[in-house]
Amino acid sequence: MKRKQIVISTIGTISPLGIDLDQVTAALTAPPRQAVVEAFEFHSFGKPVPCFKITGLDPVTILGKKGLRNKDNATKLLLSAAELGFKTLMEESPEERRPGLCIGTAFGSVQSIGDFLSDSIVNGVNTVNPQAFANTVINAPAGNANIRYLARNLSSTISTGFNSGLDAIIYAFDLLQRGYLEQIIAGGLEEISYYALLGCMRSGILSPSGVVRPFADDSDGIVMGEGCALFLLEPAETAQKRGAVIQAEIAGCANGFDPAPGGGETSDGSVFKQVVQTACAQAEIDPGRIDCVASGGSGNRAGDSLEAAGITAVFGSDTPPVTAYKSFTGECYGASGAIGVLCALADMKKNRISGIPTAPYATTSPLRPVFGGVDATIRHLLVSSFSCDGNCSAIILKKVN
Amino acid sequence: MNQEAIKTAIRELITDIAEDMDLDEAKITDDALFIDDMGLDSMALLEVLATMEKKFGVSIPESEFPNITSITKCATTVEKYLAEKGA
Amino acid sequence: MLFMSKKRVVITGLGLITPIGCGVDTFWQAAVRGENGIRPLRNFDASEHRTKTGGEVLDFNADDYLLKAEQARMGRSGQFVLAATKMALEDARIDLSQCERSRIGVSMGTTMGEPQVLEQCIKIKYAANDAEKIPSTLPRQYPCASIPANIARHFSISGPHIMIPTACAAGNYAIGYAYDMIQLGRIDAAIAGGSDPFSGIAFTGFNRLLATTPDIARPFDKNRSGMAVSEGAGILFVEELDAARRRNAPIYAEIRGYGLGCDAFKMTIPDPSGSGGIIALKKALDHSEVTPDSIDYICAHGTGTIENDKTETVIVKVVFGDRAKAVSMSSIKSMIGHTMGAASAIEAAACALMLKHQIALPTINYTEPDPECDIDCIPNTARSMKLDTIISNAYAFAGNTSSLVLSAFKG
Repeated sequence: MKRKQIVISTIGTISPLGIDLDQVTAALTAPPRQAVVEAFEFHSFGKPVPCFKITGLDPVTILGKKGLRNKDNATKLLLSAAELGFKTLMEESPEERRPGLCIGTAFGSVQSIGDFLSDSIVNGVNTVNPQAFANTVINAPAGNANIRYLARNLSSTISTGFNSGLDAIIYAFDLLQRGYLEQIIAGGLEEISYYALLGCMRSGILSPSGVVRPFADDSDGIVMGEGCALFLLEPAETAQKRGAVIQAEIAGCANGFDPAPGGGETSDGSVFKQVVQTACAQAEIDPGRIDCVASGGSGNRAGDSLEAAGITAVFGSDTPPVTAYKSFTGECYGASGAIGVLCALADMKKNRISGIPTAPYATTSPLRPVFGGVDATIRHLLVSSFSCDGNCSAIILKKVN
Repeated sequence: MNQEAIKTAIRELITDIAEDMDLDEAKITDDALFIDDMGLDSMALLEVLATMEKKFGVSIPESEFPNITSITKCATTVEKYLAEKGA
Repeated sequence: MLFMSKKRVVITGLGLITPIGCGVDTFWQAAVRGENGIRPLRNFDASEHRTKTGGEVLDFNADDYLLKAEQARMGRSGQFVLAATKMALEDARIDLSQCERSRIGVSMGTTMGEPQVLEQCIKIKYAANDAEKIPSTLPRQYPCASIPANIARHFSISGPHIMIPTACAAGNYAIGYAYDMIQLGRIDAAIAGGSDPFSGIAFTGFNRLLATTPDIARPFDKNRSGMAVSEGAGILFVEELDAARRRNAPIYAEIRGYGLGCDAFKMTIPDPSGSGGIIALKKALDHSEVTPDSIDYICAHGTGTIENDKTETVIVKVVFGDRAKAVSMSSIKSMIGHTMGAASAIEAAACALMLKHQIALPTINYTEPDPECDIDCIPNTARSMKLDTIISNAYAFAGNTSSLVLSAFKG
């Protein structure tokens, strides 16, 4: 049987770039918006840490007060993004055909897990609020969204580090191809948590300067970001039937794992190449037909050189324009891939490529990333990620007329 | 700590929980049953117990759990263990 | 239902780490004997907790499977998983050097990944009042994505790669997706399963929910007093039938299909009407193209809590109707406790063994029937019986539900 044509239609998002596609489009032409964090409930850094934090979000105005009392910030962020994007769709779908949910997250509920433990260390194991335990499972945010919308057909959570958002979309794509259900809301979620920030600091990958410089020779690390981007994935005819705006088709997608980098070796990019080729084969195109690559370039030099090795392995010397949306958003971990897809949809719609929003800097990367905004006709766009751990993911978005 | 102060603390918590669960706050009275009258669930009751233990620094054994069915009964139980603790 | 293709997917290798034994044979013999793995905790200080028992894996020696340098790079969950994967690959008699490793997938499940690593980091911070004392190599061992990454790296497997942390149902989700990837032609074979180490977070949490038994787990018994927090890992090597045949592989069982659902009710309490479990079970039967009449046995989620076992009985009654009491349904959690993200992977492996040996494992510690759980739970003694097509249920916090259908392999 022929592969189903799966499209992205409705969007729900909250990130420092905004709360809908128009705001994201505008944000991609403006300087990045940064903020700082310093103290959390149980711990403090004792100094401001630069990051791309969502500011001014009040979940109660979006969600109402009901049901939020014991929910953590990751859950409130997911529920808020879902409410903005999918409330009507959920309410209008008959229960037996209501969309499923599939959420990618790297650290998931680590703030709740860490706080639960910190509370039990500081105040004793017999004083912690039992309701707080419910937040500690990584699938808690997704489950809370299922509860809010009485969505009983699927609740899944994917956690593959930086690639979680892309892999959640790939997983949802596969379940739709299997015919298990008709519509899935898939995407990525990550909150800035004390524990993830601390982990990055101790691992030495956080940028001391707080400036994101993907592929720069002198880049000094990542800046943590947060956000949530969700997409309704459905067959094209389903979207057409309900009169939905189709943002793009997911023409092909694949993931894999390169064992080399995590073992301390450099990669020849062959696994990344094979992943992109699988996605291209599904899309029935040659890699040469890809007009733009939305890379996972983040300012982590090890990661950026992997990404460069992979992209070079696919395209050789004839690399299409490469951008790195993380220069606008920071490293949003599990949300990164989904926010990358969101930015790509905004660019495809405007026929432009939003390059790195700073003055061009020195780079000996073979990729020659795009700086500033440039006009471009994009028919096929590759959103990719090659993580330091070795995860390789690729999604090819195709413009739909 | 007199019983009225304990009752007030419980009442405030129950009101918060009721609002969160979208329950009818008019049904919150000192002698209304938590589950049958107010519509609370067992998770909410666990939270009530945990919060009272933390707030009043008492340890209430699990065997009392079935007896904590209303604001009045909950307050009486807290009082009992406060007195034991003081003794 | 419009599937792209209907390939046949078989289980050819198993790896098990459980409180009643590590390794397929050790586990199986203990399980058939009805051994209890729930004991006073030895490696975890439970002096402050209401419950003092749980399921610890005491005979796991990482040195048997991993070099010291490898052990130092990962948490207990990763060590469990690598050891179980080695067992499964050996059991499957597969020579990876003869395989196209981009055609092998890794699909894993867990509840919290490596919670012990996070616990270690936070305890160091509190003890020294200084986060700088946390070793720089430790934090990266925490994310649950490290678990499948360790497998792929160790065995140089480059195919599709996923971690599905759907709590206590994660094993079924991971095995299900491995099955899907084979059906979709993405891969020929996969390492699939789940893992969770004993963690203070889970133990404290379930204690605070008053969900833990004070002594042992008694699923479906009238006097059941809760679940037993436990640890372990289960790994299955699954492959497309033709690939298995080409290399003359031993075949345990065939995966017929699976179904997922969600209660959408409460985070920590199952919907008493069984909504999500009914959806998952019906979908599993539908996707597998089998009828309730053809099901011989159900490997229950059966945690031993009042709510779960009552609800699971409701689910089976709704789906099986009058036949509910005729379908045997046991809980191996009576023996090994609740291994969280490993539970349904271990149960799937146990199902594969039950199909191979035509023996259904018992629910131990059963003394008094509960009218609200009026099913045949194979009390206390394993039973030789015809097992053709069977089901394994797994449910989770956040409402996730799943049912996996397996059949005895018939050429």
